[in-house]
Amino acid sequence: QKVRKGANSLDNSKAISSVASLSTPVDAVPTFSFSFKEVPLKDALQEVAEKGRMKLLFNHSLVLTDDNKLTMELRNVNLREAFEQTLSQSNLDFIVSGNGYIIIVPKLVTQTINVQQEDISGTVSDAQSGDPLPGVNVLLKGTTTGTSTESDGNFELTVPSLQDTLIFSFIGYQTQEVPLNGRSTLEINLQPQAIAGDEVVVTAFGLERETQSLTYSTQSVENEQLTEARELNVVNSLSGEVAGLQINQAGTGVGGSSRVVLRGNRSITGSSQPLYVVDGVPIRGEVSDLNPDNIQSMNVLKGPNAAALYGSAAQNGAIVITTKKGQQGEVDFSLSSNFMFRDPILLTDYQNQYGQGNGGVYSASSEFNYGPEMNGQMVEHWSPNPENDSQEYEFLPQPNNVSDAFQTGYNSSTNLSASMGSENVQALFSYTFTDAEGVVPNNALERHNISARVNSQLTDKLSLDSKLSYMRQVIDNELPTGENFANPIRHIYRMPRNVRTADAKVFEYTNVSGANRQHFWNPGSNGGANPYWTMNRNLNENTRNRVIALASLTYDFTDYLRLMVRASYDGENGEYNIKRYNDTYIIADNGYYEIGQSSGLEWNGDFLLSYDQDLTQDWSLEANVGGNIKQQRNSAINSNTNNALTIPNFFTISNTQNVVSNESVGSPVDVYSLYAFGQIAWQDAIFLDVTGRNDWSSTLPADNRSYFYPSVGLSTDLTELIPELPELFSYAQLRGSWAKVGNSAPPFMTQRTASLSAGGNNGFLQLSTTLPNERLKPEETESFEVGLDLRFLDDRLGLDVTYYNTHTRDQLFQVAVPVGSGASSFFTNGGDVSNKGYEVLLSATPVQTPDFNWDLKMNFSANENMVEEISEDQPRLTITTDFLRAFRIEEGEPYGQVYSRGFERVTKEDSEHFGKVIVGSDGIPEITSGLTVPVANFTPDWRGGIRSTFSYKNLSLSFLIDHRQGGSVVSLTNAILYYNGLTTQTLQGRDGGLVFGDNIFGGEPAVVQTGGTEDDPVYSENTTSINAEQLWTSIGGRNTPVGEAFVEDATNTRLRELKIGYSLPQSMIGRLPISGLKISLVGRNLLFLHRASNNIDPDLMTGTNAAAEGFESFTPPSSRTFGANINIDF
Amino acid sequence: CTDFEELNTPDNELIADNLESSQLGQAFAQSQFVGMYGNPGAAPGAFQLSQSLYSDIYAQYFATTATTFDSDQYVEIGRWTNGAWNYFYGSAAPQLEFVEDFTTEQGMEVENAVARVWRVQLYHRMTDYFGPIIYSEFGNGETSVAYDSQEEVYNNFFAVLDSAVTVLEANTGQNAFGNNDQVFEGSVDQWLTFANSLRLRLAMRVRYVSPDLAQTEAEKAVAAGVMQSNADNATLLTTPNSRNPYTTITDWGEFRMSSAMESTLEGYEDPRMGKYFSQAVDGDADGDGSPYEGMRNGLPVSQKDQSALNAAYSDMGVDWLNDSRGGTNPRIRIMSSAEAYFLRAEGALLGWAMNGSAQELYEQGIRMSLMERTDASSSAIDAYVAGNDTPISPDDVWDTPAMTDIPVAFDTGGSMERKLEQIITQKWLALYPNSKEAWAEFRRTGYPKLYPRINSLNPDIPVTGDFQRLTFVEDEYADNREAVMNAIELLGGEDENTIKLWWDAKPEN
Repeated sequence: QKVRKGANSLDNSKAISSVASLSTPVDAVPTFSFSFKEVPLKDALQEVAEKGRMKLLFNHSLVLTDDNKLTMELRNVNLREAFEQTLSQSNLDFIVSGNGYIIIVPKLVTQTINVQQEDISGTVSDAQSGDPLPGVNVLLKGTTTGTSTESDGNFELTVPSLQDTLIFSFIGYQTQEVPLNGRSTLEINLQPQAIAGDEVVVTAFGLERETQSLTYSTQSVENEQLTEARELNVVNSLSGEVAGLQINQAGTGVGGSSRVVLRGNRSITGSSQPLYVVDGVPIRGEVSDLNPDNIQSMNVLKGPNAAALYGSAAQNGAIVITTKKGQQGEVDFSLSSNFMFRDPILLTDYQNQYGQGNGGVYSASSEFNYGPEMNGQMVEHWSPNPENDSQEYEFLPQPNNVSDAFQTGYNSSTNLSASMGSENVQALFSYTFTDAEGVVPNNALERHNISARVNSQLTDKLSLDSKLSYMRQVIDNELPTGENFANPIRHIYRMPRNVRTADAKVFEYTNVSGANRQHFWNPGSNGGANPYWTMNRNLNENTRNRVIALASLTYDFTDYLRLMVRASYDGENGEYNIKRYNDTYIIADNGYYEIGQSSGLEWNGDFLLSYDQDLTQDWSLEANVGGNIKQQRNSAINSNTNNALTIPNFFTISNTQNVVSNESVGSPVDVYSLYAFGQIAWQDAIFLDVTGRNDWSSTLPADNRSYFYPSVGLSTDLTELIPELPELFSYAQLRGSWAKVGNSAPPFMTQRTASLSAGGNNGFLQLSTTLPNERLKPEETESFEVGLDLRFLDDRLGLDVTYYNTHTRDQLFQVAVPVGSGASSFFTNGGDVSNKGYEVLLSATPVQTPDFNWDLKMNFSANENMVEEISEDQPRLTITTDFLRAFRIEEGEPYGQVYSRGFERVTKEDSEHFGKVIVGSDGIPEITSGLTVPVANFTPDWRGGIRSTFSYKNLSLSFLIDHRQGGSVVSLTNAILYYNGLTTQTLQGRDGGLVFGDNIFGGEPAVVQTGGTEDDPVYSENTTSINAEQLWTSIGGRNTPVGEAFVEDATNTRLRELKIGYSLPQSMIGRLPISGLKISLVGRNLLFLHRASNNIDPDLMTGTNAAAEGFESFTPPSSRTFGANINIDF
Repeated sequence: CTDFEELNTPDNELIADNLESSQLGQAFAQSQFVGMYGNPGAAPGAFQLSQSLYSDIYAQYFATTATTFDSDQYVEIGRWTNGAWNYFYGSAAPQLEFVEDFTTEQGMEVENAVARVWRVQLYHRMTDYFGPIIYSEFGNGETSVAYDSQEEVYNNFFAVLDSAVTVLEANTGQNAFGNNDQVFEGSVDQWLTFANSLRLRLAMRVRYVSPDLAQTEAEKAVAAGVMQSNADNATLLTTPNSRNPYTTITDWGEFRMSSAMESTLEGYEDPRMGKYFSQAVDGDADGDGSPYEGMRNGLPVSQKDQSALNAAYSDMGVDWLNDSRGGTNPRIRIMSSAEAYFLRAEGALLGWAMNGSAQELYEQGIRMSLMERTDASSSAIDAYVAGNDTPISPDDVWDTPAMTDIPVAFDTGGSMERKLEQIITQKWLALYPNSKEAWAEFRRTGYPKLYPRINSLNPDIPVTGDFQRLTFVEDEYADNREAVMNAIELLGGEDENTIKLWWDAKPEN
């Protein structure tokens, strides 16, 4: 939940973005008139605040208990006078904060008491940021004597005795009672605290809402969390923090993407990933490009309810990112620097007993490890370099040859930012340099982020918000994923156990004819390579330049009607090259070079007309009408040298007899939209939200091009509604909403196309294999959710529960038809994927003392995913197939059934052996001929995370543990490593004695046919013994692995984060030219507390598409990062 | 505002509904190349999946050295054949169907006839792999596409050839598709000769199952005029962008000459040896006096030391190697006059009207092949034809004996089967590397007398047994299940590698 952190971060609190600077200065000339008749004080204050476009903050108990009805006539007063007058009959006072806030506080009466007087003074700061807090109430306990802190956080007070107790209270912070205990100077750190109902979250269109008025569930993460324990890809910071959110990183090394899914997979063939929205505008490219330093907060809108207004793109939820703005005031420089080491966590249990060879016999060129025991005997050297002919070396285990191939990488980033602003113009400039090296040598990243943001009040009524960000990123040697032959991981993991690091590191040599050759134990291998060769001679470079720009004008017609117009652009250009030196065996025996360029952009043009007015004393209305034009364009070209470079290892595209070029016109999409949304509120206690949007999409056939989708939501603040609620409850909100979101199709699906390619005398023409559908209609997601947000004991304990149920219907997907039909698939609408589940957030502050504080936040989510229907023709869709598995969507099963080969089993139900594995007379289990056995499904049963934060004075310690329960993956890495005899699991039975179903795969009773006929076989228990090599080479490997034998439980618990932070107290930095300094030690992904899988990290995937789920294939090792972060404010 | 229709139409592609006759040739060209050899690009995956991993090693032109190529040990890898099936039906057949439909609609009779002859050429290779196939129902646009039995498919082949030949005969001297036709540059006359020769090939294929049909069709073909000189040969153009797949496959180092090839070519001191194969890197390591070395098929993983095997045994001849190793990117073989003579020789053996005696035709077939494949002098060719040498033992680590005892010289006094073995063995040598035809003829006749495998991983097929067909593919089981189930009934109830095809009906003697 959003935690408010004092005045400095209270800048975004108006109902419409960027209006904080619009609030009328309290002493300004424009004057107001009010007429109150029997009005509750609270409402009167609210009215004054709204007139001045100020935001009112107060403690409910303070104001609500004031029963006095106010009757008062005010003519031509400015805001200060209005507040003074309104409060004149109460025991309340007000404080004006710099950012459009009016804070209502108890009136402090300085009494002169004729006793001994003591002068005390002190400073109050934010315990987390160390920033001084102005406007904090300081009250002498048991009296109404007090004061408030100045703008520098300092206060002075005269008290009767140094044994008295002071009470420090401030909105958004936990109240602290501090016994003086004889001290006359104090340093107070206030802990930020969530205030029920008053947290401001950013929702659709950059709209800021208080949580009490939200009819759906959201969760947000603040800047500090993103920058301190920094991840290269900022979205990874959400891991374990947000209920209902699943993040899996793709195994491409540094700078890799992540797959993010909110509340389960719902799209049959689409991505199911959420929309990213930055400052109110959807972005098109990678979220990993964004600079965490510039992000104020990330707010996760989990379901379509929250995102109905973004339309199509947000049916999978939205992650709304708000970037920082300049602040009014003096120039504020800050410098922060972060350095994290990255260390591989190698999970594979390698055996260190048997070396290269088969059948117990050594072979220098073998990629298997079924050779003899390694006892130091001299063996022929594997080197193909003629200079090493007849060399021998000691045959000994090399337990570190795999780990030697990795290195300790790092992430480093430095941010410099400057904020400055006058009353009318505020600006923020920020620059961040990031560089990183992966755990695989030569895999590195360099990134520059520059951004400027200017907010200006052009006239009384017209304001401008403008932003320009530029990003340039270069990634060296992004790792090809999975079993790609250019993926060094594949070759590192497969190093024979006896190969010495020093020998392997010599990855090339010059042969007798002067050619450069790969130095590998099995020259010419189909699929094998010296890993050092791959790291150094299979290179790629990827550069991306990206610009995000935004300009938004807001015009206030009146204080209740305004118009915003906005244009925004997100565009990127990328280029890459791939170099493979000759002798890279089957993927580049004669060298290979490829270059490519791509570009993509999204334009958004918006207008939004907003009306916000109290209709009566009880009723208020907020209504908006808006429109959007979205244009997406992208294109790419690439060329390669086909399969031969003419001059070896000279990398230019003309160095070949045969250039192959491709052009892609990408996916041009235009969507025009009109929408309206509004909220009616009654007594600030009941809120009714209604939205409606109509889209016109270029990708749909003319008749179905226009589609409408609505949502409705209700939120009630029970604490306001039911005064009889026991004291125990400090806040209670009940909310519910229903929404429907439409989604259009990919482009080019309404006509059958034909493409030209090179070949023959005049080229080849080929018809597309997907049949068009002229009757396509938009797909839709329907979602329902209810939630309850309860706070107890002055918010020391909080519980937030959400139940949701979504159905995604009329999905657009390709139905495979028999290729014999003349096409391989046709595009159609159909299907129904449901997701229902619970999300629970529990927050508690078990200990709260002036110096020591313990906060706990727990999240839990359980999602039940079900493919209810696909289509009449196809109860099952195969999304992708490879050697190990088929990824299928199947009616009546959770999304993403992974099929593979399995063991043949006795299928006669009346047989006493029903279900047992059938073993051949040779003792080897029989295998199904196709990918017919469902073996895995990645869908977890539940997920949860616990964050615990301890703070003592300026010191804080926090950790995050995250747990995933259930789901499974099938591992090609294991299938191949076992096949090659590399893991400890293959040690058993090297000399025979393995009896399938007995001492190996003991959980799978096995039988062998001993008689009968084919139709009526007679079985008896398998007793044939085989050896490890026979077993694993039969069921492992690349081409026909038995997936059923290599399924791993994905359950795991990890220490996701640990951080220790220390803010230097004001007293220590007082004489330095800085205003704040904070140092943190942080670690991410430190260790597994529990892991059910063998050899692999089940959460790493080969890619970010849905079909990568439930499949593991040569992902780089999971890595822990740890380091330090320093943040200086000037 | 943007024009939505225009925006939703790709700029770099044509719209199928708007194609014009001027673009037809490129569609036909696609069906020719892709139909024969899959994708035309640098990575000849389709060729590997459909031919290299199956018929190339089942016809024992090659043996595999790659550890994971279990098809050499009689294991059918479903995913490979799945790819082969999809490449044909997904990438080649739709274009051919389109050309046939378009030419029918537009009344382009000659082009239509040429396309139909090509249809027979492509589909007979499919049915000879699988048996029942999708044929008459192809392109029905439905979610279920029925299979035809092999008998129906073959009967239709003859009917299609009848109608096409009628049109071609009426249009001799004409041209169809111009140089988009990569086989004959559009020559109707040559297409006519090819159509007749193809009929002869198919006729002989059904000899055992349907002798009368076979004789009728074969005699019809010869009467109408089959290939007689190497100028009649059907080969497919290769270009840098549509390459002979072997020029890439050979770079991968996964295949080497088979022992069967070594035994015969070396035994006959065949002048084609040096054209067909390269000398082994290790030279004459076994000391048999020849640097051309063949390896046995079906080596278990434990014996597959890939780099050692690749060095010890012969790669393909230099023509099929990559350009950088002196390769010439040779045209792709479809049918040759030598094959036509061998087919006529077999017919003559049976007393059919083949316009020549079995011996004459057999010897003419050998001459044609040697003239086509080598630059041997006519005296050398004469000597070869009259040669009495027999295949030798490769003298290898497996103690492999000579493959058979037949000489080249036609054994006029020998049994019918011995003569047939001579004809088919020589045809097998002449066809190289067109293994799809060679494997079909091996299954039909039992010749040449190929070696048993060293090892079989297929519990149903012993090392001395024969792999008869490929099973229906995974995607068909998933997407076209009902039709596959019916096709299995057409096959006799079981979808196994051991089921003989319809034409595979030679009586056991």
